[in-house]
Amino acid sequence: MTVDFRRVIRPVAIGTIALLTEYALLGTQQFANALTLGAIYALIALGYTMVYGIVELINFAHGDIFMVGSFLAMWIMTTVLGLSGPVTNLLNLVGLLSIVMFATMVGMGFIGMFIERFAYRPLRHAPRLAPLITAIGVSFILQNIISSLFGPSPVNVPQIVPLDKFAFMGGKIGYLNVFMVVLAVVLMIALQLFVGRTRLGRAMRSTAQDREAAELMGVDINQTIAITFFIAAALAGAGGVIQGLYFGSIKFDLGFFVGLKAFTAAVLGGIGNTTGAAIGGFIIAFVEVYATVLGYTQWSEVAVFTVLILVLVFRPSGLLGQQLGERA
Amino acid sequence: MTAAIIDPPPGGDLILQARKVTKAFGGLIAVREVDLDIPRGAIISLIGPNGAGKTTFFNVIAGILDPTSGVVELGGRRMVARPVRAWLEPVTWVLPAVIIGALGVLAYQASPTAGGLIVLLALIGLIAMLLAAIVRPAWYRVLLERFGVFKSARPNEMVRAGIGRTFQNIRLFANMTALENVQVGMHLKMKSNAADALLSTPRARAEETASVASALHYLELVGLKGRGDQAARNLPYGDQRRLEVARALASEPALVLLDEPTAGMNPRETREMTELIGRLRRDLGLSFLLIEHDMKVVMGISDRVTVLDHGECIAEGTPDEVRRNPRVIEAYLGRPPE
Repeated sequence: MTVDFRRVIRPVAIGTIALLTEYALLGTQQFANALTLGAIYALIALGYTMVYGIVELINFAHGDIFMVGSFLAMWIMTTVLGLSGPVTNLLNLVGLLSIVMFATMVGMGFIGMFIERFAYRPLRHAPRLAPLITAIGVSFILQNIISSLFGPSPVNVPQIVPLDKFAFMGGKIGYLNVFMVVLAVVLMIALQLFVGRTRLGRAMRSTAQDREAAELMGVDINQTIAITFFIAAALAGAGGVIQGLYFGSIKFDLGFFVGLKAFTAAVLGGIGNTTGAAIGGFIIAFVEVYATVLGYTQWSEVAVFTVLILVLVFRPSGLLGQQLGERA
Repeated sequence: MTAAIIDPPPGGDLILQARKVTKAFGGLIAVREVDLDIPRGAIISLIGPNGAGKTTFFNVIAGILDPTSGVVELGGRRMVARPVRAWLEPVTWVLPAVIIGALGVLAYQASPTAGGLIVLLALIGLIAMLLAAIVRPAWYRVLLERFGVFKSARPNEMVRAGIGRTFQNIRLFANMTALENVQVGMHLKMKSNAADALLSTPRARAEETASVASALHYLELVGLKGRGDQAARNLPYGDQRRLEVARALASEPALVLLDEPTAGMNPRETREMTELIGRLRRDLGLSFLLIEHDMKVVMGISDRVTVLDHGECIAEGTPDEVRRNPRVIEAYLGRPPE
């Protein structure tokens, strides 16, 4: 349980140097943009990677879970809390944001568990392709439910956080950006602690490595997998809240594009590895922002997937992925 | 053919009782009507030539396979194929039909054709379910299992009931440390739930600390003191085997199933493992069921030996009795020339 500092120092040093370089290259404004975008991608990528790690299923519905999360947050803000514009009282704002965040995460968590229970669990012993196709089906179901409930056109999300910015090192950063990045980082650290230091986290890791052996040691596989889906969907829900607040409008097919990039991030970082997914999310966001800064906005996706291909050519299992052959 | 009832030791009782266990895979009968009794505190060995059905029988006892027929009782509780939440059974197939029917009635007010169709669909669903239950009970059973209505005792319930086991091919959680491997074994003994973990309640933290102390104790017990922080995959082979034993002990079982505990070990490691098993029985009062090929180990520590050949129990008795049994010699060495 003791932390080995030598093992921590190197990645922290590399990360700090990378971030400082990015900052020097991009400048305050774009740096903040990239970090915020990266936070969203990372939160979703974590869900892809956790689910893959434990049931070896690429959950194609995960992007749509994120989309449903953004709609759920919008619905809570407008219909339940009756908000429509910026909330200027700081105390109120913090309270409201916490409520929205908490309710969305818990709500999405249960939706994730529900999907696992009725769409994936019955197919757990079926050939690998069956749950994959089911995931695509779930993705369509979610998209169509949302588009029939809220309509196929973009829906506005109330901007409850004032768009104030503060000057920082020659640029301007929105309070919103700071809030989002801090939130994402806190959630990721919480996830790492949960997986690394608790009984249920150990159950998750043991299930991911050898499901049958874990079961024979007394781990309840169904419960563990359900918890994994809960956490994955809750993180996607948090990403959905951020998406709505940051971009101001959401659409029923949002999950496809963002989900694809988050999935790329998970693969880039090494699918099955949570740290890798977080790093992958930020890398993809930075690549995208670079493309925009250099004036090639239309090419940003090409750049993202070029990076993915290059990484996979030299490290087929992703940046932090375990070499194949680990699971026999 | 298989009268294998052991007189319970004085004051003792049976931990596990298998009666006429048969397991067939399609037409192949892997285990035929095998009986086995394990008294408390005994070391029982299961031997037999390759392909004798040892592993199948072992897996039935461990709860991985359901027997085709026969009963396994653990501490007097029957452990296989039982319905749970049986009241759910009618609900699972009547309720959807009722809901769909109700929707159909609602839809009927808007459009009689659509409503009628939906009601018809609900009826067809009900009838199909009924037919499945009558014509193909096996499908119906599988369906109910999927709904969680009818299910076998899951392996983790066997752990709760007091069975710990090791594996023929080591199946540690290779990327976790030795200590964490043992902690996974304690999973069922720990109580903290998701809410505790998220809020990091004092209860959860105290339990975590206690589990570390307890895991260290088990590591010391099997002779792995000071190895707790190493990843399981980095341990030497013999230590991995012992770590598996420690992990099995961590669930505080009454009966430990050891699947070839000395496979691939050198003579010294084998001797140490044998001593360890004997010591655990003496100090902790555990019972053991071994599958083992090394006759020195089997004859050295077993109280009783059961011999399987071609899925049938051909001999049962103390090591000396078994050693002299002509059928056992025949099974191992072949029939002597007339």
